[in-house]
Amino acid sequence: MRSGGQSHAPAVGRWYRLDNAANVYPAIRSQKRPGLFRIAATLKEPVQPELLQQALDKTLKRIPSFSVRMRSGLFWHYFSHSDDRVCIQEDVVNPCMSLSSGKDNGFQIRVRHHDRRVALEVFHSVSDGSGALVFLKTLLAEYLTLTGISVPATHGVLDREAAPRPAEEADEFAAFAGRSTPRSRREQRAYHVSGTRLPHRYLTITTGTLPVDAVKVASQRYGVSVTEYLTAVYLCVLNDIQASEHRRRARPVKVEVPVNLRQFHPTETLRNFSSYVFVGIDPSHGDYTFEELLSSVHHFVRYEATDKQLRSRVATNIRTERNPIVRAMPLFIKNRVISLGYKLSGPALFTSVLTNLGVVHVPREMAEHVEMFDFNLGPSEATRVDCAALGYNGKLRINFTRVIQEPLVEHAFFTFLVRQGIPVKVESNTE
Amino acid sequence: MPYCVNCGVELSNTARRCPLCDTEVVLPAGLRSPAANGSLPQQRDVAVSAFDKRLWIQVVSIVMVIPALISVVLDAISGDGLTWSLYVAASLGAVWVWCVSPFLYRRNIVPLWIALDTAALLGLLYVVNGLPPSGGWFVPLALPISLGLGLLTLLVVGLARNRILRELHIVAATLMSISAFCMLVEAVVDLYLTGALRFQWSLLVLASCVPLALIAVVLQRRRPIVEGMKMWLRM
Repeated sequence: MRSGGQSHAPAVGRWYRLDNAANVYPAIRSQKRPGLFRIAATLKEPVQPELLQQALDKTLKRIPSFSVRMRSGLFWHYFSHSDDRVCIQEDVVNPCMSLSSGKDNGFQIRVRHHDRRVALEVFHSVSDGSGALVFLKTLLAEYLTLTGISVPATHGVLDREAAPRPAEEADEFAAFAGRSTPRSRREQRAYHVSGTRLPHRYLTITTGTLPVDAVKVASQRYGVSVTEYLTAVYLCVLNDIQASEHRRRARPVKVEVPVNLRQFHPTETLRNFSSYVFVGIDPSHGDYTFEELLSSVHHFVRYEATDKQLRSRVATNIRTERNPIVRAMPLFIKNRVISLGYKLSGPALFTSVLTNLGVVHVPREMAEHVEMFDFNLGPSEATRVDCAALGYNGKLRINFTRVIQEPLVEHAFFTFLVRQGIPVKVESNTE
Repeated sequence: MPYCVNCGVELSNTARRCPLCDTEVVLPAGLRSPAANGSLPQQRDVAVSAFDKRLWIQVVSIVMVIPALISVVLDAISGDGLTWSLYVAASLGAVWVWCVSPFLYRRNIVPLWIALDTAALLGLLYVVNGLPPSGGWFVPLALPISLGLGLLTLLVVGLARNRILRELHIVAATLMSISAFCMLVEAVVDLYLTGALRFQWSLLVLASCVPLALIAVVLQRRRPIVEGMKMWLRM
């Protein structure tokens, strides 16, 4: 992260520029689109709230870029660091609702607990899934240490006794884009799942637990990766749902798949450092078999999720951020311009999000006390249903977040996997 | 471990219905484990509004009360009693009600604030009618028009909030209410001025609104169009 204060100065009084991806979220956030995501860990013993609070206090000292409040400048939003305590909260059945200036004290993260679960909810301007996972692992390591279990600083757990490193706060987007030529954002508008809105900004989370090995066997049978396989299944069921609506003109079905840029540009940053690819099909070209879909997804991802293509995509956003007209706009105008831009080139262009955080690795000492991890996205009124997955301890947990009553997508998705011979266990926050 | 007989997915021991297809889960007595439900939080987060209602009411009150007081004081010390300042005070009072009424209660009681807004409008018109040169037009003109406006608004909003009208049906009802209001205005004005009822311009409004309302009713049957419009308007 580019720091506005001196990067080696004490954290108090420091302010940070938002990274390139983070600039969008404050302009577009609303109760309908809070911009939060959540990573949770279920321990094997009930959580002790006092120790969790102590662990959080220490973790925030180690990772100060999570202990920030959002401020509005004349031209851009920025983060101001605060040493005020981020208080842990009791978990709720409907997570990822809008941050509140009162209950959350202006901070851009929440740490929640219930029974054996510790959950971290993060506003996307602060970090992405990978950065948040490092924070949660470090928090759990400190918590377990306070309960008398020593956890080493390996497998993405930071050394809690070390000082924060400037590299952990770096905005790497510009360095990654380099001199790459920006690409067009032009895309066809995509199909969106319809349904009856849940009342009172409620959201339903449906979780499917699958054996990682079974999914790997199924994906290897077709010669694709797990993410490509899940994306193809998702596209297939979304396409079927659109077909069942008997629209006169079928729209393209596209899934936004976030890509972690750390695999192309090694960095220690805990800030946002991810891009995305739109993987999709156009049903107006004809009916797709599942094998055709898999082949299409496989080749598209192999072409799009490459260093060059992603640099070009990031360069487009960098060019927009550096545009002199955009820079000269006062924030209140810029917010509206960003909001309009997002309307035209945001969720209108994709049907849903499918994000796979990959397999979570933790130190052996921690693994003995953590039963499972979960990852889910916040509600989005535009896409209505989104999907997030991660693997841990031989199990793949797939979480669907939806703001409509009908569980059409999850039903089609999980029953498709069952028909493929993959056993699925389903739970929901409505039980 | 229970399975859904319809979907084939495994379910938790606490599940009474399948989360995917709502099929009832039948388990032999003793196999269900209610204690496991403790892993699910019972609290629910409420959506918080970034809009500070109390601050808004305070700011509007200050902005309205100070000029009203200054007007009344200036008018009073000018020697002829309260005359023009009543216009200012009544206008600011009505604007205050219109600005503040939606935020007076924690719950958004729409019928109440429509009633308050109508009352504020009537109050303003009553004051204006009572001041020289007075016309005696309040009862024959202002009262039926204001009440008609309030009742039509209340009708459409009430039907929409109770989900009797949805989406494009609301648009159709709004268009029909506009035509009904125009006809009411023309009828009341005609009766006041000439004593006879002759609909003219309001029929033009009716002729414009009825086809549009019918189009809205027809379009409402096409779900993809409705969903597309909602998507565009919501984002």
